[in-house]
Amino acid sequence: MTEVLRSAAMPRSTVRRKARWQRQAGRIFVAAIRQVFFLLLIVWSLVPILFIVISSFKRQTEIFAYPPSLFFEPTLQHYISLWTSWDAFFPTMINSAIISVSATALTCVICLMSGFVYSRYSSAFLGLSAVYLIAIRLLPPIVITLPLFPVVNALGLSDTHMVLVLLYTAFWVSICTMIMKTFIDEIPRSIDEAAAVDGASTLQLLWRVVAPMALQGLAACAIFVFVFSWNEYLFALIFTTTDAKTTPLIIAEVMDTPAGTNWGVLFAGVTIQLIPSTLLVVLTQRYLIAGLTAGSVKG
Amino acid sequence: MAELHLTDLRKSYGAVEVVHGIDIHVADGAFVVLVGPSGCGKSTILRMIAGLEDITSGMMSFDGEDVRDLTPKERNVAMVFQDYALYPHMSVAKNIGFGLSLAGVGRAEREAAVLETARILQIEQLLDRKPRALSGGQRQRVAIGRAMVRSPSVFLFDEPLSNLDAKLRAEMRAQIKRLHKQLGVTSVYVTHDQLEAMTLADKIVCLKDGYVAQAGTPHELYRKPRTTFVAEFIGSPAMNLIPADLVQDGATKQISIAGQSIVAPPEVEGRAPGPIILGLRPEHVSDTALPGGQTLDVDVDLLEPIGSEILLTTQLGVHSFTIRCEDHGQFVSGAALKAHFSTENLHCFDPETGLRLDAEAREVAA
Repeated sequence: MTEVLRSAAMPRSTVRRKARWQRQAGRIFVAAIRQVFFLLLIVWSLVPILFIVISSFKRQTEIFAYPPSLFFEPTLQHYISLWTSWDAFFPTMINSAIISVSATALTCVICLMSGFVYSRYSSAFLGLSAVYLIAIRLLPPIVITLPLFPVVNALGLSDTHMVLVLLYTAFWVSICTMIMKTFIDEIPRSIDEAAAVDGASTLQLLWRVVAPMALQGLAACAIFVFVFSWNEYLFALIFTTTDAKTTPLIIAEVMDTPAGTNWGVLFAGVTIQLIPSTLLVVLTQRYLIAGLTAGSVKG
Repeated sequence: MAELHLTDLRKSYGAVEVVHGIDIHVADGAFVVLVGPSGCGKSTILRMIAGLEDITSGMMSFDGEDVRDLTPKERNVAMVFQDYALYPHMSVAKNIGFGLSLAGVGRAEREAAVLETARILQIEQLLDRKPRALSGGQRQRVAIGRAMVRSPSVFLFDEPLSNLDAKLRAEMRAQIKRLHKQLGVTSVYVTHDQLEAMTLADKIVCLKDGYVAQAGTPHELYRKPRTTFVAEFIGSPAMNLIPADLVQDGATKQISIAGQSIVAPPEVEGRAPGPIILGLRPEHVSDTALPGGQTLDVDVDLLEPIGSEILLTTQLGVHSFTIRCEDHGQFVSGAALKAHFSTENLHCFDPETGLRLDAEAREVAA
C-alpha cells in the first residue's frame, strides 16, 4: 500500500525509469551468475589438465612446490626420461592407435548398418532387441569381463589387438546404433526411394547417400568410441600382457613403481596420451555438438 | 518408352485393401494423369508402378513383360518426388548424374549427359551448387533433370508441383508439357489438382476410394462425367449438382427444379419419371440469352470478381447455384437474375448410384 502511494506520488517518467533500471539490474545479475557458473565449470574441467601439462615441463622439485610457480624454466627432461626409462611407452601407443582406430572404424560401419535397419524397418523382434541393446549397456563392464576370460583364452585371442577391438566395438555398438538410428530417422524416406529408382543397391544407398547425410552421427560415434578405446584400462589389463598392451597400462605402471611415483615422467606420459583424443575432439567438435543434440530440434 | 498395362491391380496393408482391382492402360508415349482426392490410392498405384510398393495381387506389364518382381532399376523407370528428394550432400551435377554413375557410365559421357540435361532445363549455371542453395522451382528442375538424364522408359511424377507457388506451378506445368512433347516418354503423373490433370493429360484416370471412377480424355471427363464424383472433381468451380424431378409432360420429359420447369435433355428419354440429380457447369450459364437456350430464375447472393470474369453465388430455391460469366459490372447482390443455358450442357445423374443417366442406361443395356 505504501509502495502504491509512493509510486502514485512520483512523476510517471520517474516510475518508468525506476522500472527500467530494475529490469536492467535483474538482467545484469542473471548474466553475472551465468558467467560465474561457466567460469567455475571451466576451472573445474581445465585446472587438472593444465596442472598435468604444465607440470610435465617443470623440474621434479617444482611440481608440488608451494606456492606453485607460474613462471619457470621449461624442461623436456621428463619426456627424455620417459623415452629412455619406459621404452615400452611408445610401442604401446602404436598398439593403442591400432586398437582404437580399428574399433572406431568397425563400430561406425556396424552402427551405420544397424542404425539404418532400426530406422527403416519395424517388427516386434526389432523392438525387443532395441530394449535389449539398451539394457545390456546398463551392466557394469566387470560383470561381462570375467566370464569372457576363458572364452577369449579358448579362442586364442588373449593378448591380441583383435580381442580389444571386438570388446570395445561390442561395448559401444548399442549406444552408437541408437545414435545412428536418430540421425538416419532425420533422412526422408523419399531419399532412399530416389536412390532405389536411380538404381542404387542397399549397400550403395548406405555408402553413397545415407553415410554422407549422417556424417555428424558417425563423427559423434567415432569420438565416443575412439576416446573410450584410447583411454580404456580394465579390458586392456585383463586381456593383454605384452603384445597388445595399451598406453593406459604403462601409465599405470609409471604411477606405481617400487621406487615410488616419478610424477614428472607420469605427467609427460599423460600429456602425450592426451594429444590424439584432444586433437580429434577439437577437429570434430562441431559434429560432436550437433551429434549430441540430434533429434532435439527438427533440422 | 513403354506401354503399361495394369490389370486387376490390388494393394492391401494388412486386412485393409486400399486399391481394389483397377485396370489402367497407358499407351506408349502417352501422358496419363492419375487424379483424385487424398487417400484415393493414386500415389500407391504410382509407387507400385515404380516398384517401391509390392503388389498384393493383379498383373503389371511394361511392353508385355511382367514387371511385378523387378526392382525399380530393372524396370527402367524414373520418378520425380513431391519433396524433390535431392541428395543434399551432392552438387546439382552430381545429383543429376548419380543414376548414371551407379550404372557405371564413364565420367566424360556422364558429364556430357548432365550438361545436355541441364541445358534443356536451363539450369547450366546451377550445376556446381548444392540443393540448399536453390529455390523451390530450381530444385524441382533438378529433380526432373535427374529423372530425364537416364532416358527411362517411363516417367513417374508424384505431385511434383504441389510445393510450388501458383506462378511457378504454372511455369513448371508448361515446362513438363514441353518436355513430354520433346522427349515423348510414357509418363504417369499423380496430382490432386484437376487443373494440372486437364492441362497435361492425354488421358485422365480419376480415382475414388481405390476404384477408377472414370478414365478417358480430359474432354470426355469434362463433357461426359460418368458419376457425380467426377462431375464435381473435374472442372473449376465445381459443377452445380442439384436434386430435381424428372416428370412426364405429354410426349416430352421435363425437369422440375425448385418450382421451375425446364426441358430435359435427350439422354433421359428412356428414364422413368422420378428424382434425379441435375448437373450444370457454372461456366455454361450466362446472363444473356442463348439461341435455343433455356432459363432458370435465380437470386444473386454473392459476387466474386476474378478479373474479366465473375463468380456469382446465387440461390435457386433452397439450393446454392454458382455461375461464372463475363463481368461488365452489371451484377448487383440481392437482385434477381435469369440464368441462361443450353440443354446440351445439362447433365443428369441417378440420385441413388450417382451414375450418369445415359451411362447407366448403357450399362443396363449391356
